[in-house]
Amino acid sequence: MNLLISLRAELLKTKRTPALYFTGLAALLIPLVFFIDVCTDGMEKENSLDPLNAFFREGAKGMGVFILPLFVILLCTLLAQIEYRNNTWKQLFASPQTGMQVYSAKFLNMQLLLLLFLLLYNGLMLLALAALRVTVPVLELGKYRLDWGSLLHINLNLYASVLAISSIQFWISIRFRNFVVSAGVGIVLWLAACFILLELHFTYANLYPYTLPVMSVFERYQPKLSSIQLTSVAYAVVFLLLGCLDFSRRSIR
Amino acid sequence: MNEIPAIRTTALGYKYSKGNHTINNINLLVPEASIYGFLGPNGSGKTTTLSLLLGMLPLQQGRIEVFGLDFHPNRISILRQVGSLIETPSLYGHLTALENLEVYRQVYGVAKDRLAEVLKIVDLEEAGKKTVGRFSLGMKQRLAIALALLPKPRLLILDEPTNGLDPNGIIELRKLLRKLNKGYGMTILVSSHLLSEVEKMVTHVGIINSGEMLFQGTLQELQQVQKRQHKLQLQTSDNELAYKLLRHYHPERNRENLLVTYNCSDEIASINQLLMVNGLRVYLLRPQENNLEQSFIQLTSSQL
Repeated sequence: MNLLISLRAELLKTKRTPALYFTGLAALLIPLVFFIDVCTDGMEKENSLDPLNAFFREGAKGMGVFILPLFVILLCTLLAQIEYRNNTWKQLFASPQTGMQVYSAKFLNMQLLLLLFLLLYNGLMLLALAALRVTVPVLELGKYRLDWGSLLHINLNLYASVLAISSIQFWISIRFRNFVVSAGVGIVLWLAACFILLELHFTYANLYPYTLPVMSVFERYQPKLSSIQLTSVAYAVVFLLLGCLDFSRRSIR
Repeated sequence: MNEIPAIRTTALGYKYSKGNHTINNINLLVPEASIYGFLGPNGSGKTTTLSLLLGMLPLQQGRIEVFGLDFHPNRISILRQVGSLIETPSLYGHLTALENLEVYRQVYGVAKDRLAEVLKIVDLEEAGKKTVGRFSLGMKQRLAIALALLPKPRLLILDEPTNGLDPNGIIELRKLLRKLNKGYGMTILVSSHLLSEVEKMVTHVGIINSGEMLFQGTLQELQQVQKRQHKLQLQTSDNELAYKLLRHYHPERNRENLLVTYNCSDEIASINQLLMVNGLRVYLLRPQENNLEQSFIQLTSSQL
């Protein structure tokens, strides 16, 4: 009950913030790029047999590699900045809430925005498909059926694989006042993940949290998918607990 | 008056880093239903003490009791009865005044009607739907006070609440605090670096400097200290003889004059008579009355 009350307060604080606007804008990116790409260059041949589901599969690659990790890094930074920019930590610490309650509520708020982002992304992808059906009738998109089960699987996979990053970035963002530090550290760690996968082909890459969303969307890592998701969830739990403990011991000057 | 004080600290100490204490051996005693002025120059340790009282800093040394309860094991239940404003207003600029209050309404478990009530108390009922980013500093300060009043607190802790208020705002705030104290029996702990700002409303005073308590007591007790510090400036035909004659009045040499301590106007007449009787010609006899502010400055500056 107490957690729900704190969560409600966090949700209200998110109103009219850059974090909320950014969630909408980031969700628009891939559907818009796909729409423009298909409008100008048409559908790639290998995708033309099952264009609807291919659309979502290709989208998931863009999400896993670029959009989702970067979105989570920036979202965590923007959410923590709500308190830092308004200088409101004092009031929060002087209110009758435990540190663990405040931290958990903030984390849940971030997770809800992450889910909203995925929901918006899927909605906008569907909208882009509907628009393509009208603007590029030659694709005959109306003939094909969308595999809703596969779509759900793609989304659950994306969400589970980014949980580790969300937990780590959330802790870093709450820990450091300067947003450049949290965003910068996150981007460097994400670039390192790309380097590990593309250049080093490191055997234990699946133990590095920032590689997990990237690995989760590529064919060659599909046999390891369960392990990737479990690793991500385990990291998320560990860093959430560490963050909670650290936050509870925090003092405000 | 209730025998259990609203706040009692015992040998409270805190240091931010290894080395010097920011505050040391602070024994604060804030009686229930009092208005306690916590005074000290900037950097004297007021905010650190208040932050400890609100659990914003970990307890390193000493003990804090609020409403007779040990603070740390009872932090949540105590904070439900405490309203606070520490230094600058803690408000969300992108939210309206009402939304800012709503953020904490459920946390404190108060009814929705209370939002309009507290906005009315601080005279901001017309600005409820305006985003706080567009507020003046004075309006923000008033909204922060409204936020502190939201839980109908038994204890109100205000750190430099007059910052950013114009003279009218300061007078209004004084009236409001007196009303809350008299009307609702609310205990108010208000810090300031200016005695003149709070002396018209406080019942008790604590003076802190360089992290040490220099004085604590009622306003009347501070006035006694002040009276003890009244000085009479004297110049006579033989200051050395006058110095000897006035030994009882603890004279001090001050260039060509003497300074003696006196308690009332009658003593000035007695001093003059004593000098005259002993054949001294009195060229200067000027009382230097300290007001409370000067007493406060003397108390705090003597420690620097």
